[in-house]
Amino acid sequence: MGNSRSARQIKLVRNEVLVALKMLYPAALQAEQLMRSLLSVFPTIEWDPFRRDLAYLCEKGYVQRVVSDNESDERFTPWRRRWFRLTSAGMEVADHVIDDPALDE
Amino acid sequence: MTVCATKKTSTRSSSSARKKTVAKPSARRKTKKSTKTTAKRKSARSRKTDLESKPAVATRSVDEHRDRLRAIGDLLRVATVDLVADAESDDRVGRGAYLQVMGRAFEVLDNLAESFDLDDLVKISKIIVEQRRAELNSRKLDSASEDSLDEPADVSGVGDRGMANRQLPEAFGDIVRQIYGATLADDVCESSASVESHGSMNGSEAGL
Repeated sequence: MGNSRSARQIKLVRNEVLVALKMLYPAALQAEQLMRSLLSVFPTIEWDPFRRDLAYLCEKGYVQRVVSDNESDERFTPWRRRWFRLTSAGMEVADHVIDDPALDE
Repeated sequence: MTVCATKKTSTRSSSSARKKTVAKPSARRKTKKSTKTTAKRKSARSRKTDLESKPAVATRSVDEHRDRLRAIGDLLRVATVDLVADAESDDRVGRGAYLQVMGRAFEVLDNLAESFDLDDLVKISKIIVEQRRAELNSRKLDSASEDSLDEPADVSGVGDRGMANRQLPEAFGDIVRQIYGATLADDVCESSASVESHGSMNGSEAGL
């Protein structure tokens, strides 16, 4: 997928991240677990674009990082090992209560 | 002749010794090769076990995936209901336990891992117990140090933590009187009242 991802593919993946976290709300998931789960739907998904999508969703305020107690310094925790959960705003977008043109399929 | 014979034998022995010494590195090489092959076999085995532990996930449709995740989410919400409360609060130990247990359960339920490792669960529970114990000890120490620090503040009456927040047992005054010969509430009442009135005046002045 890499850089050649179409806008539709990007939206699909980002939407599925929100939906996956919504299904487990209020639980959190590790980025690696989330990606491995999404591999069953998007077999060609790659780590770097997925990480960018996750960072994008965090900056949008739809997803938030949860720091575990076993992270001695949260800045140095690799992205694969970081935990993420849906925010209330993310829940609203995943439920289609609020429309986000950047995520509309 | 005997000398020659001895020489021959010595030469034979030396040549055989040389052969032996020559043979040693080859033996070493063989052992190196054998270790290499065993290492290769081991790595192949570990790869196999890795592959076995991470079963190949067949592609699903989006709806199937969502249904599966919904079922997993329902199950996890029921199973970890007690841990969720800890995870929501500021309790980092509780949150950590919740994340670890929930993450492992998710991996098993979503077919990302074969089974839940009981040893891991035991480790997690032991860590939690130790951390809880340490927390309790530190809280006890904190409360003891706060009590010792609060006493003069309450006497002066200008401390930010007043007596109203504390509920002492009824017989506490008698115990204190027996130990110190006076109590804070009854015997130091007048002095504290005067200090409090002074403090309240200061407060009113500050408010103005």
